[in-house]
Amino acid sequence: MSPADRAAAVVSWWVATYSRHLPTEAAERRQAELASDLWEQRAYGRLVRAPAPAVALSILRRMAAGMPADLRWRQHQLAATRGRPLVPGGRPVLRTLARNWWLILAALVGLFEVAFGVAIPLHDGVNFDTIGGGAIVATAGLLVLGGIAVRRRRSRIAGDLMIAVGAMPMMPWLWIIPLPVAGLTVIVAATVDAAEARSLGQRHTPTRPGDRVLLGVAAALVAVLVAPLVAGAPFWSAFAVAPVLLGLVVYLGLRQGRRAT
Amino acid sequence: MRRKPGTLLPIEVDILDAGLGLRRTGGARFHGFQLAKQIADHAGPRPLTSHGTLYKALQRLEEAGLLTSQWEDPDIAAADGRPRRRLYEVTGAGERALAAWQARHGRMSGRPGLEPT
Repeated sequence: MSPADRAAAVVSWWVATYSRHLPTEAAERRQAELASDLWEQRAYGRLVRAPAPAVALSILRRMAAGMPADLRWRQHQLAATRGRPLVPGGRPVLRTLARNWWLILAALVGLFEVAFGVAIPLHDGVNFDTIGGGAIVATAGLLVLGGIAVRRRRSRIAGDLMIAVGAMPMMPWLWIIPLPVAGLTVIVAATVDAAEARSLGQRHTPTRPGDRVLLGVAAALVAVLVAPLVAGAPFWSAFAVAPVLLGLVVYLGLRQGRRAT
Repeated sequence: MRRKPGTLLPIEVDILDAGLGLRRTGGARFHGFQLAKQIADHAGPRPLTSHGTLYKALQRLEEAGLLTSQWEDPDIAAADGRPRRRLYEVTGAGERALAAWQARHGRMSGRPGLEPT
């Protein structure tokens, strides 16, 4: 049984759970539609040779994101069987927020990193470490914000990876709990989103030559800033992983660009 | 929240738009995952619509007469070795509702052929 099959089994269990004690026709229709959907998504994943874990993550994300709607649907079905009026639910604004919550959080993380990066030398005094550290954090914030734009306009996977990498500087501040929690949430959400894009075969998203230059400049900038700091101060070794991951982002961007052209 | 008659939620607009897009590419009838993928592919970099949101919206649109649906012939599904599909189709009322919505909101589909006539 592949990871995608296990994820489908989890969804089937969830459907059976929330459709329990509902009218047979409604419950069976929902279960049958979901069985078909799960089969089709796995079949499509195999067709585009998507990794089974990516398909599994996508299936689980769709289940989790739809749980509130599932429960409202159950309430409506129960209300209908009891002869109560149905109230159509859902505010467009709330739906949009529910779909893009992690991008909003990512934007906040990016803005925070830029502001924090600028504040470090201003608060702690101007020297090599504070300017270098502030520049790294601010650049990471710009990477997050740039990733949101790249994801929207160019390449979903490259944008997601930029967001995930850019959120990494939020992790070392373990003593300020909301920061690593926010960072980790953004990293996980971006990774899941990239996995889903991969499961849909969206790695061929058209990428313009300008994007490759942008990615290359961003990677070079961060690498130039990080390399001496990593070599000279142990604290900054936490960021040693950044150039490697940025290189990965650039590689993926270049590969997409080659495939798109 | 109660809605004014004739208004469409964003997910309903997406469904009708994607359904008509599929029709233009030769598939008048479509199933749930096909629709979710069409929306994800054509409405910018968006994730696949969640199960709960998608099927709840499909049912709502069907109850409003903007979609019709029926189960696929079980023999076809059996021959392909897969579960039966519930196949949906955008009705004339659905097409008109979408065109009216787009005229009101000044929003045009990115897909060719959807310009209100």
